[in-house]
Amino acid sequence: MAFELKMPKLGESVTEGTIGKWLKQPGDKVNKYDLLVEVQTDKVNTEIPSPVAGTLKEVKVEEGQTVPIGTLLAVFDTADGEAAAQPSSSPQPQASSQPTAAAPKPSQPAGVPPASGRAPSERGPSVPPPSASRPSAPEGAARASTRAAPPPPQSPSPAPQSSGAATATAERPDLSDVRATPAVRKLAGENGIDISEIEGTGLGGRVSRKDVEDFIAQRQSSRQQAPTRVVQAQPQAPSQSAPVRQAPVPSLSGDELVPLSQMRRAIANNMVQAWSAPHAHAVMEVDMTDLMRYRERVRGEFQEREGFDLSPAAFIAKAVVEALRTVPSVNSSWTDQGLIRHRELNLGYAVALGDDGLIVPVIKDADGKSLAGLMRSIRDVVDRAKARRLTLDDLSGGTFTLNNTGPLGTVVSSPIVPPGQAAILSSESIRKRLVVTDEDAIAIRQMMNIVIGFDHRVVDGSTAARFLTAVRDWLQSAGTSVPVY
Amino acid sequence: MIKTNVQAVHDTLQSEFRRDERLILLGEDVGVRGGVFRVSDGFIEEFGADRVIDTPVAESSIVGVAIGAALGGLVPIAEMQFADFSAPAFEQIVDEAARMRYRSNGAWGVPMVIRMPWGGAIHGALYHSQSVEAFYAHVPGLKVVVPSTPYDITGMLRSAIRDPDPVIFLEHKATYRTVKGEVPDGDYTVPLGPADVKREGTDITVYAYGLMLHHSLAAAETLAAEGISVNIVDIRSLRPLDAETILREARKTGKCLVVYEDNRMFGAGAEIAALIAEEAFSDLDAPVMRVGGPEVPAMPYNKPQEDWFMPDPAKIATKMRELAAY
Repeated sequence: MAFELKMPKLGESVTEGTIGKWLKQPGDKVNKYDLLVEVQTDKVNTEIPSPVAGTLKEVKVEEGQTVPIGTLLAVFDTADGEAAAQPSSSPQPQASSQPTAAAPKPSQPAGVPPASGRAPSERGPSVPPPSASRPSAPEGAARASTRAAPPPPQSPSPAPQSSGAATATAERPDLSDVRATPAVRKLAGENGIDISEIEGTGLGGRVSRKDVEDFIAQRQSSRQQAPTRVVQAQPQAPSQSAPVRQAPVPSLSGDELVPLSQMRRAIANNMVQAWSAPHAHAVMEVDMTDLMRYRERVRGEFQEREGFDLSPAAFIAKAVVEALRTVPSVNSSWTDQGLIRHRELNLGYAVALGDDGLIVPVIKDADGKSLAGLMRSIRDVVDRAKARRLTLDDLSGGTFTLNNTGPLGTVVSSPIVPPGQAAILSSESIRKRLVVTDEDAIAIRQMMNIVIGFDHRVVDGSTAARFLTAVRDWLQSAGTSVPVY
Repeated sequence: MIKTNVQAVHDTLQSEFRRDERLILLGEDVGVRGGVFRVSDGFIEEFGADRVIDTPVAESSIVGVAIGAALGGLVPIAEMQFADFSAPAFEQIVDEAARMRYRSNGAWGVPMVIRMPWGGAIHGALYHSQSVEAFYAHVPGLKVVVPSTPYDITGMLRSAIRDPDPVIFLEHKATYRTVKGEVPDGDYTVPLGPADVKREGTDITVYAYGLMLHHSLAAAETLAAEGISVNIVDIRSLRPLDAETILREARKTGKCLVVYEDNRMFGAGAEIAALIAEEAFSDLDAPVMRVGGPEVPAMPYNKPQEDWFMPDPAKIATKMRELAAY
């Protein structure tokens, strides 16, 4: 029977995807859940697992092509697949030599990976048994690594619910016995996850929606580290076709290879792509003294009402929004066909995640928000970024980015413009400095540098300076009495 | 400008009275006394006894007269001194005001606002503490709104006065002087319908209105310190009910709690819970839970029993924890 694989919907607002590498070729035998093809969307790269077992007959979309959701990607022959899947799903040698009476107790090394080539009885007692407790990180990694290696062995960890773990073999357990809420079933179904593999943290060991999300995230990261699968360098979007030469790396004793996390890779891809835009930078000084005084005045009540602090970032975000209104040409994108002026004003807000990297969630329609609204939005995206709870939708649609480097203590930086945007603003740390005032007096003022990085194809120096001036003027005058709500 | 809830009602009524001379106010003690909650303080002096009318203690006639005045071209604000007292006016509200548009085939409307101070926790006992929202929210033809902050009260009272049909405008009296907030200058309105997310959170979603909104916000603060992030939706309007926002916020966390002080059974929370169960079933990660008033005929007078009756931040926090742990 023929089965048609179509491009799935990979996120909220995602309408198309670019085919990366086909991991299976026409004629290949494919098991259910084998990874088939890499797909890139504007923010996330992912692999699509095969929904069926069978033979891949025909690939309909070439690598590098971008196609909308629902496009036919590949055709399978599944009749052949049933037979082909048979040998791999038949009981493993050690299981057949030890009938069901030898069903492992939870404390025993239940799931010895068959790849080891040793039956459990061959193991000496001195060999520490692999932990039978459920998903610890290394075990998750082992599972993911074996997944790609044909033929797929049975899951190394037994499900305690199904008492006859050995007889269960490769059959997916009947989920009707697993207690799960609709949300959990839906999420597990969409991601091809067996709920019984997940350890629940909810009431009475219930698997919660968050448990499934964590499991997916863990599986994602362990897949990256899987030794059997070398992740290919992701082909870039067509606009960025120039090959990047790798600089020679000195090989020294004691060197350690740190595998690339998905985030590290995404940042690298993004930055390389961003670098294709000719960058220029400009800096301006802002006297924040009055604004900081005003903030002190409104801060207590804000804290009491909202339960969190009113940070200078909210004022700066507001200033950026107002400046983009004044100089709308900064809120645009370069394309070879022409400049795109964006009417929507969606503010990217860079969030540092320590050594893990950096992520830029987007505050949608930032021009419709009050100061308090911006503060709430900033807090929301920062909290969720740190909790790794951002969705794909949170990361898309940005038209300008604010990079609040002040808390990091820098006084000047040269921000890189995110691909698809025309400019980015860094707000540096606010410091007391000696300043000569307009009245020729020497005063101690709270000063801040703002830096604009801009795509010189879209914006020129004078426009950039006009934009900086608008930000500065707002912070020095309008911002010092702006209503909080 | 920072105002209390009761100031927001007073100031909005006053500015609307100045804007539109068709407005009249009818109710018990609204004139010479300036209202028992001082809502119409100074009105009779400024607008005269023709527009600020002290009525007999007869709610049925307050609403009946207001309906007639509305049909005759005025814009009446009928005040029920306490929501509890609206029972004698129930027939006028439900059988006449709510149905006028329908039975005249759209030709006649009753542009009227019926204001009702409602709710408990003021030591008001059996006849000054009731929740009446479910009675009226059950009736098509009425709008029933429950704004709970000075900003929303100001914007929604303006919308209610300018609405061509009858609006039940509920003001939680325990929040009259305890809740303060910024009210911007200018003639802004807040539409009657949309709910509002008053606090963004990721673990559970709580729906509330009136005093319970503020109690829920306080409880959410306690839970934040425990690492539980609570999303809070201010229902603001019971009829029309903002299904879109309610469902969107339900799907966001998959765990929902409705908090209301009315008798739990057949209360507004039952409708909200049913809506979520019907429309967002496949996104639910826990049963929809409720905190509501007990199965007792009325609010007791003595403090220990009143405290026992009313949901408070501690009780709400307990339920929130239960839901988060599910």
